[in-house]
Amino acid sequence: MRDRADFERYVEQRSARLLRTAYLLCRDWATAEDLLQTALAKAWLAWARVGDNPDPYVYRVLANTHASWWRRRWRGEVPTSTLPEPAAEDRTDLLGSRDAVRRALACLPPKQRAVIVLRYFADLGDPEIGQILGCSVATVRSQASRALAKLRVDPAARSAMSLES
Amino acid sequence: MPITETELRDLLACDSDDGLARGVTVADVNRRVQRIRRRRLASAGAVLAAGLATTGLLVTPHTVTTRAPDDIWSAVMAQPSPTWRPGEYTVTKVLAHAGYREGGVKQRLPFEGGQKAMGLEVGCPAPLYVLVWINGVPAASGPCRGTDASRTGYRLFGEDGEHPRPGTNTVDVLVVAASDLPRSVRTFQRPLNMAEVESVAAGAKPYAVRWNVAVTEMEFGSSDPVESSMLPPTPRSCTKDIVIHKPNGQDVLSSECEGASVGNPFAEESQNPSETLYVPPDGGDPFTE
Repeated sequence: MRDRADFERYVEQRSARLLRTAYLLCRDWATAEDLLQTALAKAWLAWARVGDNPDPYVYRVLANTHASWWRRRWRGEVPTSTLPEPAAEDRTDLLGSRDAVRRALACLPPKQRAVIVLRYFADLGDPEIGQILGCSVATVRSQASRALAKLRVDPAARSAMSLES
Repeated sequence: MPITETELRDLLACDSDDGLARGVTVADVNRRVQRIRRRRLASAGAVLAAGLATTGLLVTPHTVTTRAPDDIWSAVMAQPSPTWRPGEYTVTKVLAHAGYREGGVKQRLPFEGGQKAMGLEVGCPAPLYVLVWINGVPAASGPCRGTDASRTGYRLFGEDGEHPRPGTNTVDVLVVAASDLPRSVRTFQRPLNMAEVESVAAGAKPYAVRWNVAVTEMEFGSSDPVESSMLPPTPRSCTKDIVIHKPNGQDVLSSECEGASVGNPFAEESQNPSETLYVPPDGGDPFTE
């Protein structure tokens, strides 16, 4: 039986890592703390049912809550004088820098960003990500592929990665 | 240059490790749990109250209505049918309000933020569109609905309400004609993005229109809807006589009325008390400039 002590131990051990995950989803520390507090509160309210590994449940609440906040609070958009993705010309060289990848990350839709964060920061496999996001493995891969294309991740690395998976 | 998968991992790890995070403690989570529980309790209480009200209606004596003879005198009775969505926020306090006679000009209203969530109600006629800034940041936009400036308009209530910071806050409201909006917004009825908000605000021109705004304090749940369902009905256009045969053999003379409403003066279009826009307590002209 999971109890209060279990939950407190989980918060102490995992909150730092989960907060970083939340930050990567929303790119704002204050919102990330709000997001994680909501996710952990919901996890505690369902603590008896979440099983031995609460991470998938917490990740799911994080991703869903972030997506719903993103849809509702469009004021979170940041105005920019230049388009993040110029369509006409190939500016791959300019976008190769880390800053460009950061900007591209910030412009990803919530689901694609969640896939990238869960795969490359939380180190989860596609089946686990599919369970967390409530979609099929094929959808996870297609979302990841689109996101990586926008981030200009090396196509060779991507093809190697898809072979592995 | 394209980056590699490893570089992407490094970048994510590096970006989320800048030391700016305050962290989340068990105490933080406890406070959030209590807030969620309070909200669920209020919601359950509201559902229970609505259920009791419904039960009260179901156990009232069954009646049958028939057409009255032409030579009988008529009385008046309207049938209120209030509707209410449980779990809504209701207005508990008006923090600031003002009326204006000019549209196309951004109007600023300062107010004192407290612990509770805030809402915003704008009374404005239908063809207009409302843009809202809170503390200088674009917060929302939407159309004024309906046709009567005293009863319809635009309201801003988030799922959790909008939470102002403690101390003095400002809300800026700009009312513009729908024709001033980008074509795609009018066609697809989508909200404006931030660039469009600034563009519409910059291009707005003053014109004569009466509108008002109220900043309100919000609270979750209320017994008001149940109370309002017990208010005496207000007679409306009653033209057809009817006779109600009660189970005990008595007949009640009444009339069939159109647009019957409860005793809420603003309930013609909506009998939900929480859908009535703010009107100053003196009941007079809301245009106070």
